Formats: sequence, structure tokens, C-alpha cells
Amino acid sequence: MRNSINLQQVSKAFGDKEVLKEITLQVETGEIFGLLGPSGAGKTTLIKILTGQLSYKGVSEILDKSCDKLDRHIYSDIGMMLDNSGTYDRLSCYDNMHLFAKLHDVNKNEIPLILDRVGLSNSKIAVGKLSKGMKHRLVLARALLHHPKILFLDEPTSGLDPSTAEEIHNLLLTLKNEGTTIFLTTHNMEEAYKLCDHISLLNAGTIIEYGVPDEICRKYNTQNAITILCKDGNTVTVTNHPDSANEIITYFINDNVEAIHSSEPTLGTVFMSLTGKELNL
Amino acid sequence: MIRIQNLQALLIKQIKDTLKNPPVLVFFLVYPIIAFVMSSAMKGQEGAGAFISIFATMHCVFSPAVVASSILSEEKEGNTLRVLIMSNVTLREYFISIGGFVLIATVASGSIFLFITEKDFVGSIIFILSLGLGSFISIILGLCISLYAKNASAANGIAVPCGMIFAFLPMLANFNKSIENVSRFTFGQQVSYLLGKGSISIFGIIVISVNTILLAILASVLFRKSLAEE
Repeated sequence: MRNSINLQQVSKAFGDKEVLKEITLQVETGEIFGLLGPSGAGKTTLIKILTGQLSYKGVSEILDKSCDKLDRHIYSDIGMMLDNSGTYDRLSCYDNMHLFAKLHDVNKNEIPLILDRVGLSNSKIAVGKLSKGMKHRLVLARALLHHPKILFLDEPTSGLDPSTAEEIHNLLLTLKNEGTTIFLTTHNMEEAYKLCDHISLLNAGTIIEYGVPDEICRKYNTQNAITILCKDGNTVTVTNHPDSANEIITYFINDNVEAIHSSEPTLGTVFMSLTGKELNL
Repeated sequence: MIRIQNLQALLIKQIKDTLKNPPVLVFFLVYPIIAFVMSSAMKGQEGAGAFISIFATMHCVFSPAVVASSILSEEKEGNTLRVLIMSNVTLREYFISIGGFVLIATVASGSIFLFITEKDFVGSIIFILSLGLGSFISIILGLCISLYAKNASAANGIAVPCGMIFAFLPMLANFNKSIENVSRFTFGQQVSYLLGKGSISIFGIIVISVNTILLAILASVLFRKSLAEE
């Protein structure tokens, strides 16, 4: 499968401060790629480089075009949902969408369909009166309006209630099935685990791990233990090894097993073990 | 290449946005209305006509600077300018549409002055062109302010005193010759002469040209600086 995004040895510094250090990664066409890292790790800077907003050192390509030579036509193939919404708060949802429909040559009849798709039925309301969740939906609708090939989402569910976040997750999975490449940044490890085909863990401007979320978790499963929650209230941890079989069977024979769990690390604990820091900072 | 469709979309957006933004609307209407009220109240009295050029100067020099800086800095602060650029809009298209909107709105609302003045057809055309000239330079001033200011409130804080220097000095110059000796070096004073007398001296053309060039250079420097800061 060809890559929609290709980064080779990309670095970026603001003055003396090096924000990204020799980043190399590829994003396949049609996948959901997650860039995970704490605040200040360089996630937004990387999106800005990929969308031609910042200069950089190294090789950075999007849809086979170098990011330092992007012409304005590339923006017809890119949808963006930035952390800072960039909406016209005095205008209605429809008027906001109408502006961008004209800029992208999209038929205005598509506006109600897109708004419906993100669950914004009342398009006459002024954007300034929308809740944060509704505003998120509008920004997502705007990003989807022109059917982009690549969608950049910067913390798409940050600060949203679980139900709205779930709806956005489902929409992203549908878009992926329709062939859209999605590049999302998040510090929500559950979101990344659930949605992403591949992830990169970014810390202090360096990629410290890359791969399939499940494989990364298994790779760092150093504990290799099984936890038994007993009916008598005790919790017992045994090594995941044939030698422990008899011990585990004993708990079953004595009808003392409430629940039994393996103990693979989460992306959060992997990040913690690699950096000594929590991911959701 | 400039896309007419983008200019049109931005212009429509700005019209809708301004209609829902009373503080900006007030700026376009306040001076023509005050002039209308004052000239009606002083009808037949000596000096009534002087109010028209005073308020017309304020209208085309003060209001566009404040409104342009307010619109541009609000777009910068609210991140909408970045979103527009990521949606096939070039900065040139953006500045042309917003500048064009402010220019048209200032001249259109300034045409109210024609109802209270006794100018012939040629005089009216010169008056409208003078409003346009004052607005154009004032919009460049507003652009400089919005590029320099960090946010919309800071822009307003700078735009009001700057606008007052260029727009209120000509009014004060009517009453004080010493002030006029200073203010004649500003484009506001020269536009004021043009609005009042309908003609301009060589010195006036030089002052307006130098003011415009200096502001354009300043805007260019600030624009490059803001790009570098990005």
C-alpha cells in the first residue's frame, strides 16, 4: 500500500529550542495513524509542518508532494480539525459552512448532509452559542466538507463528554472504511488503542516507539503475569508460565475465581516505562 | 492568481459578519449621522458647512483604521485567518476582500454626507473619491496595527489613538494655526483639505504619497516579521 505521508529525518527548531529531532515515519493511505505524546511533545508542530505552515529540515512529503513546496491546491485534498477551532462565532453554522463550501467549490446542497452526518441538525444557531461538543462537531463537519483524502485531527475529542467522543470515534471509523487517511494527535491512549492502525509515541521531539498498538503493548509485556480476583476478596498474581497451571487450577477447583486477567501493559504504561512520565499530561 | 470566487465568498462572509456586529456598524454610521444632525440643527448659520468636512475626515480616516484593524486582528486571534489560508485563500485575496469591504462600506456610508452638502456633480465625485483615498490609506494603517498587535483588544488600544492623530488633528487645526503647521504633514489633514475645498496642492500630493509609501513599507516589514515569528 502506498504512503500518504512520508517523513525522513525531519527536524524543527524554534531559536535554540529543538522541538522535533530527526522524525522518520510513514502513514499508509487509508489508515488511521495516531501520534501520541504529552503536551509540548511536538505533535501540533508536526501537523503544521505536514500542512505547509512551518519550515523544517529533512524530507517531508504529503500525497507525494514536498511540504515546503505545497501550492494552495493541496488544501483541496486536506481536511483539518485544529485544536483552536477557527470559527466565525457571530455567524450561524450554515453560514460558516457556506463560506468554506464556496472556497472549496462544494455544492451548497451538501452542507445539510454533512451537518446531519456529524449530528448538527440546527444549522441556524450562531456558532458562539454552541456548546464545546457541538463546536467540535461543526469543525469536524467543516474538515469533511470537501471530501479530503487526508484528515488531520488535533486532539479531536479533547474535553468532550464520553457520548460525543464515542460518536466522533464511530464517524472516524466510517471515514476510514471509505478510504480517508486520518492523522490524529492525542494524549488519550484509549482513543488511540481503539482507533489507530499504527501509532507513534512522541516524547520531547523524538519518536520513541512506532507500530501497531496491540503489538507495542505485547512487546512491553515484561510482567508476564496473570491476576486472579478471588471470590474471598483476595487478589493473586501468578507468573504466566506452565509451572503456574496447577496453582490456577486449584483456584478454579475451589470455586474461588471471581475474574481472571492477563496483565499486558496499556499504551500509557508503555509510555511511562519508556519515559518515566505519564502520557496524559 | 486571484480567484474571484474567493473574493466573493470572503466579501459575503464579511457583510454577514458585520451586520451581526453592532460596534463595527456604529463606526460606519456615527460620523455621517452626527454631521447630518449638526448641519440640520445649524441650518442657515455661519460655519455649518465646516462640520461636513470635519466629520467626513473623521469618517474616512478614523473609522477605516479602527474597523480594519479590528477585523484583521480578530481573524488573527480567532485562528480563522489560518483556517482560510488552509482553504485555498491567499493572503492577497484576503487583504483585497477585507480592505475592499471596508473601503466600499466607508464610501457607501459616507455618501450620506452628499445629502447635507451643496456640491455639484463634479464636486460630489471628487468628494466620494476623496473619501475613498482617505479610507484606502487608513486601511493600510489598520493593517499595520493588526499585524503589530498581539490580539484584538491590543489592536483597538493602538488603533484608537493612531486614528485620532490622523483624524482629529485636522479638526483641531481648524481652531489653531500651530496645530495645522504640524498636521499638514499628515494624510488626514490633506484629505480634509480635499474634502472641504475639492482641490489639492502639489505639497498635499507629496504628503499623501509619502504617508502612503511609509505605511506600505511599515505594513510590509510587519508582515514579514509576523511570518518569521510563525
